[in-house]
Amino acid sequence: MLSLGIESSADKLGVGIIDNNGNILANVRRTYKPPLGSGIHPREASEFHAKNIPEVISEALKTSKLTMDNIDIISFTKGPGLGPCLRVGAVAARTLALKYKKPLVGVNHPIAHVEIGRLVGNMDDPVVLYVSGGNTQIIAFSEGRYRVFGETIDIPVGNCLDVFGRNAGLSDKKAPMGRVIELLAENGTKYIPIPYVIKGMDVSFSGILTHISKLLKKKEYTLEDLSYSLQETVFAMLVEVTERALAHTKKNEVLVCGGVASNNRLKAMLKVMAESHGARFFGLEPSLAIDNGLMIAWLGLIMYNQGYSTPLKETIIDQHYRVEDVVVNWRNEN
Amino acid sequence: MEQKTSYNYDFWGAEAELTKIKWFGLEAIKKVRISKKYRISEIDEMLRKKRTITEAKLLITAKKAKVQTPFVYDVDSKKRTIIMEFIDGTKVKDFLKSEEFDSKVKRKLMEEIGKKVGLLHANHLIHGDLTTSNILLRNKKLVFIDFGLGKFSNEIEDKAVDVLLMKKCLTSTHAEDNKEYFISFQKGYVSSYTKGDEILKRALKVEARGRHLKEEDVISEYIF
Repeated sequence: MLSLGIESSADKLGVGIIDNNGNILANVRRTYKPPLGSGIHPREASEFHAKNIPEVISEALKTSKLTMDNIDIISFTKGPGLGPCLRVGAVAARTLALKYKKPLVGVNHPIAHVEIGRLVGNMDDPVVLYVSGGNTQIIAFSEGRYRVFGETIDIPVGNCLDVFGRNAGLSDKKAPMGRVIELLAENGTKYIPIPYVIKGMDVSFSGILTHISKLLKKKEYTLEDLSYSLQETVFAMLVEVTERALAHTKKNEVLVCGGVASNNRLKAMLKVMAESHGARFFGLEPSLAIDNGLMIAWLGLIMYNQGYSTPLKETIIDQHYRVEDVVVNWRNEN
Repeated sequence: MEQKTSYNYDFWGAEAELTKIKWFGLEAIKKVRISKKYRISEIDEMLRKKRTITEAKLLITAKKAKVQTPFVYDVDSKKRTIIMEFIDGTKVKDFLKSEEFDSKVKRKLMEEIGKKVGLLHANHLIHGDLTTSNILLRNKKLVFIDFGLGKFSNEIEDKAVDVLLMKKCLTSTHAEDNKEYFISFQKGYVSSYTKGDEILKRALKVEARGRHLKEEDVISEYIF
């Protein structure tokens, strides 16, 4: 059984192909780059996706040395995400399904992150920190569903870092903004106090962004020290809420995924925290941590094997598709 | 002999070490905020010190707002330690999950909790971590604990977030009856706090803002 997955919920366009045993046959990705100094423009990103998707699909098939006839199911991201971007993936999936007469499975994007992490990290029942430019959530399985134990009450952590980088005039042409900030932070030495905002198991970053933007304007501190202080603060917050979820759920595995999961400092902190509780830690490599088509293909396959498939009429996207909306019948209660 | 206790340990096990001790003959809890190796010492020191002091202040001030809390016997901000009264009670979480009591009694209790939270907010006290694990029942009276994430504030936003923490806790921990419980909570809240309506309106806005939700998805769960 082979599944082809299409991911297009934000700035990444990805197509992946995976088989029943979790063998990765292709994982191709292209990224829409907004003009320097601005964020993702949903319509422009969707135009990028629409223009590139035929080639990305062909490239994935070529890499895997397969043709569409070999593919058994088509998976796509139903949501959450940016409407115009999601629609491109859904249209492409419908077109392939109709042309080649394949069943369709629309999947939940955050759950796809969790499931690819469980597969590659060989994890059974992790507490998951999902951190990216569009999402910040602590997810764990409980009573038949994935549930959000904590999340941002305003902007995602990746967005906070990106906007800081742009305000500082940093360029993300050569490396993702998070990586640029991480490299600067490695040379930071002085900690500048920044608000630390935790509310129960939730976090908030918008006040921190305002504060750091003001510090930036003062020009009293080096970019290295500001990057260091910002990273240390927001990551400490994320690790603390993950720790609380771990203690609360009494699980013994910690997984990090999403674009910000590429950050080595965040991974190191999570590892120390997990090990202090006797828990195992796993961080995905960037090709699988960042939005990708493979994770969509894999979740689609799991769900199809459990009897899920999405009739053509119901392949509408859902920008607000919640993690809790999905009945998880492929996992045992624990 | 010191005895480690599981008293409320599952929730705060992450942050502090709780030990049951005798303090001048009284049964007491020693709460020590432990150092975390994953964060830099500047942040670690700041958080542990700040939370120890804030918690002690809030525990004491809450009593003036007619909300029961453990008596604070001793605070040592250098050792990040609070020694406080041991509360021999049941977590509200366990009470709500118990099958011994019918839903009417449970709704009444949620209304009582709402009243107490209204009193805290009317006096500008923010709990910061309102969950059914952080409220105990002793001799049919509610006792609020764990104010470590709290603060003194008159901001509508801070109070709204407090209310939302309770709502989220009810959804995740008491999935079956969460909507009824939250309605009862709100009834109590607006009865003891004249500005309660305004806070609930903001809570809806905050809830719809951060999550993948729209206001119309959840407005029916509020009573304003």
